[in-house]
Amino acid sequence: MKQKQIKITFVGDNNIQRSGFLRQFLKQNNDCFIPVVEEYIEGECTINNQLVSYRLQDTPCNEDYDRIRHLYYLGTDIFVVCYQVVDLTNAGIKQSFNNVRAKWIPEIRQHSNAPIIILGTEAELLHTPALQIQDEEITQLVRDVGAQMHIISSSKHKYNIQLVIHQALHIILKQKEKETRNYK
Amino acid sequence: MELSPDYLMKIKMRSNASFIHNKEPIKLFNLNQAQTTSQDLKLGKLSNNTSDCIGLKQSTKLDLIALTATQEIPQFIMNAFSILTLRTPQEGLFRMSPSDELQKPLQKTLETNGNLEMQNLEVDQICSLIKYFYRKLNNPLISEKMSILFRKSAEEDVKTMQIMTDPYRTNLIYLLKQLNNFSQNLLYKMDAKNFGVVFAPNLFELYNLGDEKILKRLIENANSFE
Repeated sequence: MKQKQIKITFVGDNNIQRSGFLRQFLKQNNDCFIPVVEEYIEGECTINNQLVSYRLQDTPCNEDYDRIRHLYYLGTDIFVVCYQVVDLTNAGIKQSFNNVRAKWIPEIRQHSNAPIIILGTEAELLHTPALQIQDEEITQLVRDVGAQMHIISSSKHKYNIQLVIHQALHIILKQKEKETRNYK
Repeated sequence: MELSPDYLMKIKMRSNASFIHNKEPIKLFNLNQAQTTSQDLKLGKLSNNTSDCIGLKQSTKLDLIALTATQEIPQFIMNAFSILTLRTPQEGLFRMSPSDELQKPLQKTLETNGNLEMQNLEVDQICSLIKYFYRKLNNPLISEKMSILFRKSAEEDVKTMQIMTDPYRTNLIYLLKQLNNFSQNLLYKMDAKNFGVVFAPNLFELYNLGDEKILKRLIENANSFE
């Protein structure tokens, strides 16, 4: 039986290697510096002997696209919200981390009730003296937002790239199983 | 007055999709319910929250005709670009966005006064303010009619540029030339394509996907316009 395509939408601040993550997934060169308008990757994989087709949707996250962005949210099964694991300014602003709570989650919830995964990007910076975001803050955020999962990844060192996609697909498949069981 | 078919399609798509995919319908206006005339749509009367519309037209105090009464280009834009050219080049000009909390008071003063002190601000903040200025103009630089003409043919850009009325034409050409200058400098890591992506939703009255390619073309040929 052919299944409906699962749509995974990526949102998050600019310049935190969100698109770099997706390009790394395709094993492309990651040095380019291009703001995204609309990019997506389509593919297939087998999970629990089931053939699953998916679509990874990248969104334009500039402030200029605020009025248009919700068009990309339509039909999304699961959202991946990205933040940078360190604060490079060292001033305690933590812009990308705070924007998850202040901007992205409210915007998503206005248009969709789909589950959310929170993804920390650029994990290679954890070894630098830059200000790190504390574990307690992250657990608090995950609890407040009602996120399904929190994962840290590094697109430079190819760390946890496949895992994020697989976990997202697992969550959706489990949800669908539950729904069909309840229906019976 | 007629709306472009693309725009109508988008509205229909959204109003249908809200029923299919969401348990709670989106707070957007619905074509079937409201039975609107095209003029109402253009004026943004239907939706209380104008930011919901894809069209840029909205009632703000920033009026380009009033701001250009004494000079061709608004003082704010002149100041901002002169400051930007003096600062040391940074990666990703006009692409990075500063935090909202810092920007909101600045945006308010810009909207009420039409000008602003900028010497102490960071490059990102100035860039964001420039984009905000173009976004919040009473009439966007590239009106719906002009954008249709630009979409039609790539070769007649010079001709269509001559049709445009004056404060808008001079301002658009000024902006294109500035962006062309910045795109020549490799230190910014922003070429015409990147500027097109960043600026397209700020300049077009009704933005369609693919308009950023038009802007890229215009920026590359900026010096052929007069």
